[in-house]
Amino acid sequence: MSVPPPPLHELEAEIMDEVWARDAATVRDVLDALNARSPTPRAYTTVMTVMQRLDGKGLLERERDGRRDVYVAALSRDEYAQARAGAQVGALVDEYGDVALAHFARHMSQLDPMRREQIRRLAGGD
Amino acid sequence: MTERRALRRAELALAALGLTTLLLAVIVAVDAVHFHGLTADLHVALGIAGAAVIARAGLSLVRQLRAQRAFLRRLPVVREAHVHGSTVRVVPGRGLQAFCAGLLRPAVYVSEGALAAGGPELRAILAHEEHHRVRRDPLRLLCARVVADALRPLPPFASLAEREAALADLAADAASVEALGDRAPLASAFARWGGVAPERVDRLVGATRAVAIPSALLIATAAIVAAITGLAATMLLADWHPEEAILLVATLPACLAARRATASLRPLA
Repeated sequence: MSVPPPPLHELEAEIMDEVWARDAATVRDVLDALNARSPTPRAYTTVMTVMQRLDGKGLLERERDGRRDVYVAALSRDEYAQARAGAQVGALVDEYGDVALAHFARHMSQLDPMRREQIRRLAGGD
Repeated sequence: MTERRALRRAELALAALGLTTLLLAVIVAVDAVHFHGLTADLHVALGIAGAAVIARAGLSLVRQLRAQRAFLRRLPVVREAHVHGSTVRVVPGRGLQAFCAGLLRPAVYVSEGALAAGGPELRAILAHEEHHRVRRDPLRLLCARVVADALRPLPPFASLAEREAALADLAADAASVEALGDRAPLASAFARWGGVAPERVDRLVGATRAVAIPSALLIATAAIVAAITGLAATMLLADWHPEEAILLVATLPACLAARRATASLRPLA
C-alpha cells in the first residue's frame, strides 16, 4: 500500500486550489491569484517556499519551461481527497481498533514465513 | 462436534469465568459493607477490593462507550452497498479494510479498495464479518473488556478480552469456510491482508483442532453461575450471608473451563 499524502495546512491548501484550477502554474500565477482575493498580500518568496515544500512532499511536480519553473499537481483534487479519506479511516481503525471494532486483520505484525507458505499453498487450492 | 459449536462452548466458558468473578466481587462488597458494617480489618479490605472492582468495571464501560461513539461519529461512510447478499457500509480508501462495529445494531464496514478487489476473497471476508455482525461480537468484546479491566490484577483476566477476540475470530473464520464450502478463498484473503493472528492460520490449515470443553464442566459452571446469582439475590432480598471461603471455591470449575477453552490458543502477549 502506498504512503497516503500528507494533510494540507492553510496556505498549502490555498496554493493547491490554485494549481488544481489550472493545468500548470508558476509561482507568479499562484501569487497573483492569491493576492487578487486576499486583503493582505503574500510575498513572492513565501509562496515559492511553500510550493517547493509541496514539491518535496510529492504533492506538486516541478517542470522546467525555459527559464521558469512550472508546477503541476501530482494528484488530481479527487485523487487527493480520496487518498486522504482513506488515510483517515486507517488512522481511526488504528486509534480505536482495541476498543471499538472487530477488525478482519487486527494484528500489526506480518505472519512468519512458514505460515505464509502454508497459507499460499492452501490459497492455491493444493 | 462441529468447529463452531466447540468455539461457542469455549466462549461460554470464558464468559462464565468473567461473570462468576464479577458477581463474587459484588457479593463480597455487599457482604463486607452490609452484613459486617466494615467492623473487622478483613471486611474493610474486602469491601475496598469489591468496591474497586465495581468502580473499575464502571469506568471501563464509560470509556468504551465513549470510544464507540467517537469512532462511529468520525468514520466517513461514502455509501451503502449490497454485496453477496449482505449490506455493507463503504468507507473511502484504496487500502484493504473490513471490520464490524456498533453495539446494539452492528454493521459491516468495507473500504472501497477491498470492495474493488472483489472475488471469492471478498466473499470470504464478508462471511467472516457477517458472523461478527449477527452475533454482535463488538458487544461481546465490550463485556469481556469490562470484566478484564475490572479484574486486571488477577492473572487469568489479564488477557480475557484478547482471548475472547481470538475465539470470536476463529468462530467467524469457521463460519466463512462453512458458508463458502471452501478454505481457499479465506486463505487467499489471509495472504493478501497479512496481519492475521497465527492461531487463525493454524486453525485454517488444520494444524490445530477445535478445543473441546466437556459438557459436564460446562454444566457445572452454568450451575455455579446460577447459584451465585441466586446467592446475590438472596443477600440483597433476604437477611442472610455466606462464608467467603465458599464463594472462592465456587470459581474453580469456571477457571478450569476457561483454561480448557484457551488451551489451544497461542499465549497472547
